[in-house]
Amino acid sequence: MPTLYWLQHGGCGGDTMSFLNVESPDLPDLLDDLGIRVLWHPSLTDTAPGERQALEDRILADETPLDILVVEGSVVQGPDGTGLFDTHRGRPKRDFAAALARRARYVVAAGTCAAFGGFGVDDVMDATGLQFRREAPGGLLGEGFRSRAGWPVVNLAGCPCHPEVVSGTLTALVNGTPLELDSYQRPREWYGMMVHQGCSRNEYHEYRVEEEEFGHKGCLFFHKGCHGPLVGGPCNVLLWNRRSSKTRAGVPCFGCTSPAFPQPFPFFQTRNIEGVPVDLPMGIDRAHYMAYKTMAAAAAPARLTHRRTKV
Amino acid sequence: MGGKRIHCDVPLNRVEGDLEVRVAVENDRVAEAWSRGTLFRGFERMLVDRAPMDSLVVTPRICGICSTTHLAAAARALDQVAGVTPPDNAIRMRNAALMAEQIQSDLRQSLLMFMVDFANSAYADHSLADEARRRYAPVGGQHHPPGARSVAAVRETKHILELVALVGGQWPHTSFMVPGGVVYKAEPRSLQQGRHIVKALRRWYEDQVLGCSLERWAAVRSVADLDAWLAESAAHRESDAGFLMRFGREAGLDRLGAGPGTFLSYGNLPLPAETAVAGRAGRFVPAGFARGADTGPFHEGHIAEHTAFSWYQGDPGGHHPWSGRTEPLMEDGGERYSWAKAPRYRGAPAETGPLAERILAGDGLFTDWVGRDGPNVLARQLARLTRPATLFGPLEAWLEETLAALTPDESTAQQAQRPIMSPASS
Ligand code: SF4
Ligand code: SF4
Repeated sequence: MPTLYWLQHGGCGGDTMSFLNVESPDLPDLLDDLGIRVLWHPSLTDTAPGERQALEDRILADETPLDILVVEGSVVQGPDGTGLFDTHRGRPKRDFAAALARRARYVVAAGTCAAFGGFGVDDVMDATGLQFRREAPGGLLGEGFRSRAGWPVVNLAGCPCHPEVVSGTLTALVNGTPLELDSYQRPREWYGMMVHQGCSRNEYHEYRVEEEEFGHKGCLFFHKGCHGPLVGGPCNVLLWNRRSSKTRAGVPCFGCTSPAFPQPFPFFQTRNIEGVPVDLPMGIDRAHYMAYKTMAAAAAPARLTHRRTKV
Repeated sequence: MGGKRIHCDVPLNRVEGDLEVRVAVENDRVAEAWSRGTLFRGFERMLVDRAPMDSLVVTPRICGICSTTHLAAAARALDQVAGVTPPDNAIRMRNAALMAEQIQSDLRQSLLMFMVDFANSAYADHSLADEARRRYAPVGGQHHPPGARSVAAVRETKHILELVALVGGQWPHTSFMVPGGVVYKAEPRSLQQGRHIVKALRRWYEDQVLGCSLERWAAVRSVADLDAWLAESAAHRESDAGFLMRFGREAGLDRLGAGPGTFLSYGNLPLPAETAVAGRAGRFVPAGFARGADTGPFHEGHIAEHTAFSWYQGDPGGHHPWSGRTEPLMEDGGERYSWAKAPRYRGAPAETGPLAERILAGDGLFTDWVGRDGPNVLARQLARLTRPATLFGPLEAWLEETLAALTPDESTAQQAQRPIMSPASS
């Protein structure tokens, strides 16, 4: 029976709360189908404090095997590198996380905080991810870290991470299905597509019919700072809570699956050079893009320029 | 005393919990206790020097179970700065998302994070222990199969969050509230789906959580009414609310957890200018401050945060959050013991949350109960479990009102003049 330990670090618990929403299979069925034995999860187990300490000691002594370690929230290194902003049993929690990681067959970072540091990298909290600090390899465990099964940390980016990505990853790990990882160690299965793919505003995007004011139907790329074409993620393919996504509802994508999230410059605005975004869709050439967009805008059908098409 | 003194750290960590209670036990009694925040993230500092609208993205990340509430706080602050009042439908949409989140949170907290402890072996001698295990054993527990009610709570509570996704894109961590309103005009199709979602959860809530209709529950206006309600039918006793009462009374939860005896509510869910939903001073959840049952107005200027026992630099605090500072100070020894600041109202602690809200709204049952026995754990938990009973009605009303008030947008109006059957023709 595969065992799982879910450690919460310096985060908001949003990845757990989101995981509770997982569908088909839902959470109880998922655990049952995969035969996962949850050793510890703050919201899913009722282990008493003394029992938990004994369990942790057994894992660290290699007496209880740990198959999957999931970490949620950023690793806290402040103040001044002591890690004392986040403690567990009176000691820096990051030391405990590192010790557990060395005993685990697989280590999974649930959410951008655990993967890349997320909120608090630039402040006194001195946050880092498990194997990256923003884009830089390293993090808590170091670039060369491999879990006992020989894997680097599997980064399930997102703020929060989509629940189906967590369940899909657990399923793959338990069943031994290969997972291809990208350069930031995110499974290409879910991060090898753009957030833009499947957005209901794609037609507006195609013909450069843009939203300048909220609620004015259009694409959010040129003025509202949408990162949909810039970052990978399954938001518009899997949808959220079975129903929608931020960009479908008219909220720009903030690029939360990117190691650079949260960006240092303002959200809700597109940085631009003479009206054209500084950051262009992934992999595109600027001159070609401008020529294409000018032609596309000229070819836009009236149902889009008059914003008759629903989103 | 002279007895042996033992220290024990009890972590409280069911949800985003980095709270620990340290107790000193002497002669088998708790002599002293300290509640300690064990995590510093410093969100107060992260917004400094950022664009104002960034608060709509950063602030929700304070907490993953109530991110929409933090979003609403940020959006209202920006409304205030801009001097704007959102249009009625935007107020209704903001409220709908907040209420959906709150219903989710109340039910998950009650069933998955509070009543789960009834299944703990610490209650092995309780006469309802076996039943408690069959109902509330945790979903990932080691010792027993998951409880039927725990599983049901996981399966049902997520659906109400679909309403947040319909109006705001996703839950948690959307940013659909913006200064002056929301990002997008509500669509009839979303509102209609939303109505079905609310009705479905309401059916489950009435059937299983209360064991009676919302109307029947609303007739419980005193402790005597509550006892009569319990005696009235097996459905009432077998519901989560009925079981909470039966288990809680035997376990003595109504004699624990008095708290400071003062209650505070900031007020929530602003009323649209035109609505059938009743409230007080422009809010469905009224603001107020009470000492026991003696209620009076609330002035937010009396809120202050103290740091004399928290790891922060500077004076011992006592500042309104406007002027407070967040400069962490790591100190070995000394009297400081927590990363949490101590919020005070007129210099003293006050209870907030569902029980406080119900007392300040003048609710019959909880005013009667607290008047007799003082605040206690059982009353507090019943107030939380039954708060959704107060929310379904206004939530449904606001969805209806929004649908009724929708004006066709320009493009729809144009299409209506020329009956176009296919989107391809233009
Ligand atoms: S990545 Fe986002 S959802 Fe996850 S812990 Fe961090 S702030 Fe919360
Ligand atoms: S709103 Fe964003 S995700 Fe949607 S089409 Fe435009 S750029 Fe793409």
